[in-house]
Amino acid sequence: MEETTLDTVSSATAKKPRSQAYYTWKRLKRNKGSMAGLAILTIYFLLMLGANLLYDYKDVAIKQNIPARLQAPSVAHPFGTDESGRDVLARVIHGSRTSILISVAAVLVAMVIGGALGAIAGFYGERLSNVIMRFMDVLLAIPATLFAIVIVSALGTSVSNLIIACSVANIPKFARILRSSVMSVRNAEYIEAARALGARESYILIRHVLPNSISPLFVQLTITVGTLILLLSGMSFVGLGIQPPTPEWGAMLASARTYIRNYSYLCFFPGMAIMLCILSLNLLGDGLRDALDPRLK
Amino acid sequence: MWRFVLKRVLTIIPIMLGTTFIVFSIMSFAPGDAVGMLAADASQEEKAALRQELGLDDPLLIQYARYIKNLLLGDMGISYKSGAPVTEELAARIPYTALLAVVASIITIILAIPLGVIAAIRQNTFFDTSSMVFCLLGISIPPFWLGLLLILSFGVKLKMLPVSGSGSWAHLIMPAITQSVAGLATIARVTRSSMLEVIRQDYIRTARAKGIAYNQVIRRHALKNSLLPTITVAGLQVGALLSGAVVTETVFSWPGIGRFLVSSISWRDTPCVLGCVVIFVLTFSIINLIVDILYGFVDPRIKAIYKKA
Amino acid sequence: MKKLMGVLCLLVAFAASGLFVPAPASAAGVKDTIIFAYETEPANLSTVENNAIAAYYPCFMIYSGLFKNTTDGIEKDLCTDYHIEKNAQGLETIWVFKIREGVKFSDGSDLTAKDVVATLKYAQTRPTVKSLTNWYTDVEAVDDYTVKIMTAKVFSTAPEALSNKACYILPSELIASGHDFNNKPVGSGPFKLSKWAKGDSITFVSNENYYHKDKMPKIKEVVWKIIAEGTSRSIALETGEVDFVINVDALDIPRLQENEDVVVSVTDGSMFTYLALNNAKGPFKDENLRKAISCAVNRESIIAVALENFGAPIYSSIPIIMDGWTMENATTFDLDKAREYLKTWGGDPSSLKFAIIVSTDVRRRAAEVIQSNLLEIGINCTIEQVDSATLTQVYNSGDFMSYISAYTSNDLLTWLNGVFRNTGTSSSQFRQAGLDMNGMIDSIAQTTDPTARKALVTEVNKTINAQQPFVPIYQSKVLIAYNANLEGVEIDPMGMFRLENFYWRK
Repeated sequence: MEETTLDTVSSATAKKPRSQAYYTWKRLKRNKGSMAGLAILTIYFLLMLGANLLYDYKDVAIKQNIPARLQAPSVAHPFGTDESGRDVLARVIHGSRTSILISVAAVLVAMVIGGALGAIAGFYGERLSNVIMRFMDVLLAIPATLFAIVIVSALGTSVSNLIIACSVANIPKFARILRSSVMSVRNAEYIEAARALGARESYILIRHVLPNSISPLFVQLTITVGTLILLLSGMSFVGLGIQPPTPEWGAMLASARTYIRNYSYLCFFPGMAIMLCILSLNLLGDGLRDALDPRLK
Repeated sequence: MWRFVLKRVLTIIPIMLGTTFIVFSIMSFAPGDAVGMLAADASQEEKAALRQELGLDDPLLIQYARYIKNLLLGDMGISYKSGAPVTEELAARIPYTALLAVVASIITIILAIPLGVIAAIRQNTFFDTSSMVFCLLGISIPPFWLGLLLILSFGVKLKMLPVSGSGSWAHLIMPAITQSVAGLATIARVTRSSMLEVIRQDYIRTARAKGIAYNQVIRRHALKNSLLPTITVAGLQVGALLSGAVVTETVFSWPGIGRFLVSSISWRDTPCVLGCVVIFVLTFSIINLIVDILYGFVDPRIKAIYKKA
Repeated sequence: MKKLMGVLCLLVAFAASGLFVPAPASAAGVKDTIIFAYETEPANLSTVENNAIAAYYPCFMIYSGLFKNTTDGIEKDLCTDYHIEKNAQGLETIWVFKIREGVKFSDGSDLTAKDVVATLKYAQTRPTVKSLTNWYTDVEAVDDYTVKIMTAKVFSTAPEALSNKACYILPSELIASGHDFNNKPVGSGPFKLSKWAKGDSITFVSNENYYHKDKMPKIKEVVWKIIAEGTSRSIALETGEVDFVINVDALDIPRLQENEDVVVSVTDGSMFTYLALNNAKGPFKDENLRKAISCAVNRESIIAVALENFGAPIYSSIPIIMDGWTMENATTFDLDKAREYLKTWGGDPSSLKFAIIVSTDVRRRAAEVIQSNLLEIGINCTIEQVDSATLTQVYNSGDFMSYISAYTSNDLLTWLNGVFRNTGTSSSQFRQAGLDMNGMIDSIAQTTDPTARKALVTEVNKTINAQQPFVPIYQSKVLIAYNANLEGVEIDPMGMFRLENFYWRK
């Protein structure tokens, strides 16, 4: 299997040099799981874009309709209605905007800051590494949920505060992973070789070390987007999540927990939306990891 | 090696100062204080008196310095909420969280590493696919939802297990499962992906080419080399366990430190919050140290770096 | 690695054997223990260091006072007789109480007038219960079993005030020695503390020194379990893990009612829940706007969504159970009226920007309905869910527009003082609506004649209704469920009960 991959890729290279992204995509396309994940994520993305075309935000997603409360799934309401008579499907669709956007924003912040700190710590000598990693240990030593709870209770429950709260606690994770991965790569022969050729350290870090050590970060990235969707729901669980009536999966799930025995569909659909989203993120992330791995070239 | 360990033990001190300071500051900036919670109906003068009694009217830095000084003397202060020493409050709850964390960790590690390794060496088989689907579901399930589903099925429908509280081994089962699922899935996935990377390496191919049995190659060469990311993630998972304790302990009314911390935050009971932070930091620092030492055992190149230090 | 695992397992087993002490089997078949489930843990077990409902239940078990509150009203407890005397000015401000002889504290020491005096003086020094102890000016012991309590003005409801846990009697020697009542309570109630497993449960055993020999508790051991999730409490009752659930989740009521092993008690509650509006500043200074909001709020919808219909809508500004309650001048749900009031107010409803601050899930649901209701008359508001410390801070600082809160008491004066008395703080000024609330409350306190008092209460109620200082929303029902074999259960509108009357059917 691997041998054939190598052959096709090298013969393609011989004909016409292409960018790395092209080969990554080519390899990714062979991974059925990732394609399924990508397909689902595309649907999510389209739903996020077209949410207002499908269901009006003001009149359907947030407007209460008490007589129609707690209706089981039907043709009119495929996912049923919630405790205030709002259509659950409409709220799940509109909720994707809040949940995914906040989580992605928080992860990007955490990854850029944490990744940079981790790469520097792993690549440049012991002293700098110690300073950075001890600071990371300080952040890491405070459990993520609690860090988030403390930050949000102090700063208040706004979207930007939630992004800050979610990202701060995740910075050290990215830093640690990239550092340990950089550490295991930095003494490799090809790095020594680059050094022997007189390349600058920063050039070596960006050009040689990072591409060879970044793949664990993608596994972490995919997991973290999911973790953050879960963290958001955890925040709602303690009453510090997205404020009503804005639909958000975690808040819907947390609010539905009271109804789990009698109206389990209220928990089921937002829960499924969360699971499916994280599932496809992970499928895609796994595929990306394999596709990006330079050792497979 | 011992010098390295000693150095790392000493670094716990700045970490402790850093974390307690960060949390202390955030707690001080949070709206409201313990006095408001204890005496909501009292007049301003009475509240001022109570504040003075608790030492809350001193400047923040002085309060913090006083806390650190007492901490060094082994005194963690008095809970604003209950009036009992923080050490007593913590001593009552730590064993529960520790028990839950240790049991959950044992379940996680016993299951996750073999699962990850087997999935990797049988890549693209039914076992691989199904176990990875299981892992994907494991990290995708909101923990409190999983907890409630467990309660509904094993507690209500099957009446096999008690739904809340503590008191017997049976009480421990559902919280431990809820606690371990996410970690199990994460560690199994990381083990699998790093194992996959390792078995594609040239030295594994070389070892196989020399005619060594596949199982032996895996055990003697691949496993050890693939453990580095696993150890990192396992170390991080202990943090996740403490974090997850908040939700799990609430769902199952488990009398541990996670629930205590959340209620202390909402009471603005800063001595208790800091007490919990101190415990978390100690646990964390010790686990990080163990992780770093394990790196050395697993990877001789890293051990060499430690020796240099 | 294997060795490490072995050691770990041993450690775990060792730790667990310490934590899991098996519950003692009840003696010879007759059940004499009971397990309660409640959502929050009391902050402490002192009578004077907290004023939260969570602490009332344990305090009623451990301590006793001169009077007690029962489902039949105020009853004498440690007091055997009392009368009122006139002071030098001829005003009835001196209460003389006869203390029961032969009462012992759970530590075996005798309870005398000295303890009553020490307790009442001590309680006045504790800020937390200040509002419950500021009615008397001095206390003195006439002899070992007689106590005089002096009030500044005529105060008609001293027995009611003495039935509050803040006035329950503590041993004077322990007060003097600075005893830690928070964690090691000593009282003269039917039970005493046996063990407090913090965060998990509090265990009480019957107090063999309890004075009331006929009413010695038949239940010998009471376990008070903390179960935060409503669903879990109901399930624990269904599976028999607990015997008695306080604050049952409304959604579980139908299922529990079908269960033959469980008795469900639904009583009208006195927990008066309201939407507070800041009368002291901002647009809500205008009574027409306040009335417009009150007319727009659909209480029935709120009760359906937030309470699953287990509640009663309220429109008048004092609790229905109070003698003299009236609907006169109160606004009800009426959108046309709401629009009229808006017109009289004259402002642009869409220009209003405010947040409803809430601290619990039930109140968040209520706020969501209000948010939706107000949209109907063109008012846009947001909801902010915060923790209770933040909410307390917010209303103490006076820096808010509106929030949802509740207050409960069986006693009208305590209720009026708690909700309306202006104590000079910003937190007490936002509900004044330009009225002399203190004057009205004092005049009720000084009226001892029941008929005159009732008329006065009606008058006050009307006056307050006319100003609409806040928007009354609902009084929730008290939902309790317990094992069907349990007898002697009586529940009052605050959700309180007397455990010493409980017994198991043979």
